[in-house]
Amino acid sequence: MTMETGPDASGGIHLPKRLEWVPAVLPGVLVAVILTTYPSYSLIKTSLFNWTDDGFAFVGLQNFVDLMGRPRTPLYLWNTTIWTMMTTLGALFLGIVAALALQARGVVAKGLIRSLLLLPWIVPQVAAAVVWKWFYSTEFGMLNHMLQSAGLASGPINWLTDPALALPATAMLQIWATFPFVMLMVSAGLQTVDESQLEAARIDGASPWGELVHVVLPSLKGVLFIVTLIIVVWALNSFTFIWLLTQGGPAGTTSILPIYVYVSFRDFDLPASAAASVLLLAVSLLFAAIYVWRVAREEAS
Amino acid sequence: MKNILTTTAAILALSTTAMAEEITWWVPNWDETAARDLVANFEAAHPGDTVNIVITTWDTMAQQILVGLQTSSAPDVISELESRVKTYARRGLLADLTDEINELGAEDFVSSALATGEWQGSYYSVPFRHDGTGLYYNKAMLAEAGLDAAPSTWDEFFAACEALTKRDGDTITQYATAWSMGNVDNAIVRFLTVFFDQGGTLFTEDQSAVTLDTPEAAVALQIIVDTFERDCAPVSSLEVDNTGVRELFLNERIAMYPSGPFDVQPILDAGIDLGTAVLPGTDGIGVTTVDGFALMIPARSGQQEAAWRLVSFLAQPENQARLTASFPASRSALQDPKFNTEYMVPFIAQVEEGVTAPSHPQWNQIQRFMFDNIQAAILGRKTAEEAMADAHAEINASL
Repeated sequence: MTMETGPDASGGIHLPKRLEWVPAVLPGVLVAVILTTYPSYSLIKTSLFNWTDDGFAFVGLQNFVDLMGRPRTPLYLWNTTIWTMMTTLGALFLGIVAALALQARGVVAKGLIRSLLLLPWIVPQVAAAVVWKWFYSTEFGMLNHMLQSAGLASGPINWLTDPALALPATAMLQIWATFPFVMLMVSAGLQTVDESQLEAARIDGASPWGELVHVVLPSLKGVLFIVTLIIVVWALNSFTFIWLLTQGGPAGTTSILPIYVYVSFRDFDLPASAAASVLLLAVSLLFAAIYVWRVAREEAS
Repeated sequence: MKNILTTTAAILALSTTAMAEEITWWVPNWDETAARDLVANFEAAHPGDTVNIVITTWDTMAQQILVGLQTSSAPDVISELESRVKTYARRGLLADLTDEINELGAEDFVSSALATGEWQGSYYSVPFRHDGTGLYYNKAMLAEAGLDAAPSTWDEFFAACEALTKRDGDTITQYATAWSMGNVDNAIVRFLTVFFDQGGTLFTEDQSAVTLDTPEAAVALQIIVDTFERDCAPVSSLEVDNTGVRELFLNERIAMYPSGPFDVQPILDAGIDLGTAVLPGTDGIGVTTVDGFALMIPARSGQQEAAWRLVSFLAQPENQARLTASFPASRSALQDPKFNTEYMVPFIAQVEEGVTAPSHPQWNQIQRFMFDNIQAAILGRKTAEEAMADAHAEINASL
């Protein structure tokens, strides 16, 4: 019988060939476990426990039942849905338009323009929020100043305090910050569009719009699918922009689920905070699972 | 003989080393300069003790402290908001300082300040900064409007509003006042000053429910709503915090506003013709909530004796006077000449009318419900009565 594992001639551990990959992978796995798996486990565990007469005890799904029964939960869920839809569609639209515009013939200094358009994605969120808050300011804001100077508004518009405008105005910041990612991915995807198909479409008399709808966008389907999933997850986890711009106001019109997570956490109400976080995590994981499945399928094909 | 002396010196050195400890103190960034000066004095007075200052910021300190108190990363001393101390004390996260404070002289502390750290008959914090709200006004703007003094009652306040609001056609170019209604914490403090002035009480005695379905709550909110409906205050109040309101004042967009004593110096630095007064009330001086900062020692601190050496040093009247960004929390420290200027005197008078800022384990959620409903009333989506009734129902359903 041959020993598979044991000290080699130099005194080091000799691993069988089929396990040689372990030392290379182990550090990464450990880091992932420490930084991701354990916090997730702890979060899920906390969401199933609460303070009772017996101390911090297992309560099953009661925290989730309580969460759903809270008076503001429907509002938070509704706002989260609207927020996610607005920011995702907005970022997709702007990102695709920007990528196509940069792809067009005759555009000069494409590299420079692309770099400038990437800035919103690079700027720290807190800095961006502070600048946008001043941009929207009713009293001193640049936006109102420009609109009034151009004769497009007779007086200052309450961008962040009008309940009808606050959520779209806040969403604009999220769109501004995420569209460069879409632009970057779509730009990369455009390089793979089959020129011969475009040629064929042109010969068949397709208009530029027809080329876009029937050739370009179908070719980008895979990229757009993955990009959409990623920015949906970003939207679901948004907190900084809304908190710094409106703190969830006015009158709760920009309150989304991460705001609730934060407020509960500040109250030491860890079970409630954890339950809301798990809910967000579950929705995000659903999108992540679709993403992983899609990537795996593409790799397989 | 030489050997004996050497051995004795070595033993003394070792014993000093054994006593010497490194104390970690979490300090908010606005106190950093004063804290470093005081630490230098402390270290000089306590050879061997060293203090490691860790800076916190307003936006993150609540979470940082919450996490720190519950983990092994707890520091030895923390500067924290007075009104949050009880929340930690309830959970057993703080060292009981009752004996130490009594030995230090509990009677010298402003009673409402000491009360902020009292839980079930024990003291859990040493206050060093304690203040309330007063009224800031621009003397030149009031004089231009024909007013020679700040309003002292709500009736006078609304009369002054009409005189101070300026129009250019349909556009209002100058408002009388503004409220910090864009920040949850700031907005609730502003509401509570008016609410307490009306004689309102926020909680039932056992704190199991709020009492916002009362005439006092509705009247208080109506006073705030009226300032918007009568063009005394801009709707943009809903997008600003205390600092934002101060910016409006510095830019002479508003003529008066309520705030704490910490705004005096920035306004004087900007060259504004400043006046300060007590808050207007129904029949005279209004009521302020009082709050401030206190020093806590976490229950998990492994060096509570050394931590107390630092805390008791900082609690000395002259050190409180140096550390506080507004007023100190001890009566003897209040005698310092720097707190008796023409701008500060109204604030001292106001603190006497102070009501301790509320404290409750679910305070942030309570504030959230109040904040949303107050904003809804200001925006005209609900009447003041409906907004308070809704806040009452929502809060009590979640407590």
